[in-house]
Amino acid sequence: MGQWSRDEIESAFQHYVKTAAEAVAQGDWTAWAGLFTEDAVYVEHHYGIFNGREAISKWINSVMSPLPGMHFPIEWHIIDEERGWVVMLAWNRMPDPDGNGPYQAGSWTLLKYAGDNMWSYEEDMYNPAEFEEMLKVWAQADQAAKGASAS
Amino acid sequence: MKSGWSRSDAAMGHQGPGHDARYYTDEYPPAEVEAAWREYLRVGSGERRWDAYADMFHEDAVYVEHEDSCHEGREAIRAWIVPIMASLPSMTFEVEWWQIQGNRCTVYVWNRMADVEGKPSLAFMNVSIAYYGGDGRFSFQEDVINTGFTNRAMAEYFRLGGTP
Repeated sequence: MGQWSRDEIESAFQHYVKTAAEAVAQGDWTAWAGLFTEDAVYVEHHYGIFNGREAISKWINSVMSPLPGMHFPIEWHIIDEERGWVVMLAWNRMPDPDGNGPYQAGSWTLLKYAGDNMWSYEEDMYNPAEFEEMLKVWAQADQAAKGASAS
Repeated sequence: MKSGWSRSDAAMGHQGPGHDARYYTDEYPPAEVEAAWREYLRVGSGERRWDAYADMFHEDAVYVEHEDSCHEGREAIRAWIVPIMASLPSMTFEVEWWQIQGNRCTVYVWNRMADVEGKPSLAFMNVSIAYYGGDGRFSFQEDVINTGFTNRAMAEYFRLGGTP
C-alpha cells in the first residue's frame, strides 16, 4: 500500500488532464504549471531538465505558444498505487484541417504524485524525428486548407 | 491508413504507441502475465540471450522500434535483434522499474555501454511497452526512445574510445 489511494491519484490525474485541456483552450499554461510543486523536476528528453515550478511554467508557455491547438488525448494510463506514479501514453494531436487526420505523434510520460493534486516530477520521452515529420505534413495540409478556403 | 503523415505510422501500418483497441485485454490471469514478463526480462535484458528472447514472441507478433524499423513476425524479430545485439557486445541493460496492468507490461531500461577507463559512464534510456498474448508469449512490442539523445550518447562513447 502506497502513501495515496488509487482513487486519489486517479482523481488528481484527471484534474491534470482537464487543466491541460483548459491550457490549450486559453493558450496559457501557467495554471497547468501550478500543478507542480515548487521544487518539482521536469525531465524532458528533448528539451532538457527544468528545476522548479517557475522554470517549468516559463518553458511550457514558450514551447506551446507556436503550436496553438495542439492537444493531448490520453491513449492509456497506468496508476502505480504503490509508488504514487502515473505512466501514460498521450497523443500530441494537431487540429485536423482537411479531414485526413488525426495529425498526431505519441509521447510517453511518467508523473510522480505529491499529494494535494500536485506533482513533484514529470518525465517525457518520444522520438523528435517523428514529431518533426508530423508537423511538416500537418503544416502542408493546413496551408492547403487555408488556400482552398481563401480562393 | 488515411495518409502517411507520420514516419512511425507509415512504417507500422497502424495507429502507434500501445494501440489499445487492438492489443489491450485483462483476460489473462495476472500471475500468468507476470511470470511471462519476468522470463522476458530475464532472457533479454538480464542474460542477453536474444534467440530465447525472440522465442518470447508469438509467431505473428509485431515489434515497432521507432528509430529504424518495424518487424512483423517472430522470425523477423529474431533476424533483426540477434545480429544487432551481436554487434553491440559492450552494451548491458539495467532495468530501473517495470509495471504491469492487464496484459500491458512496461519497463524503463538503461542501455549502458562498457566503461571507458577514466571516463564517465555512458548510457541512454528507453521505455518498452509489450502486450502479453497468452501461451507465455507476447504479441506486440513498441519501444519509446529519444533518438537524438541516443545518437549523441553513442557518438560521445565512440569519441572517448569506446568499442561497440
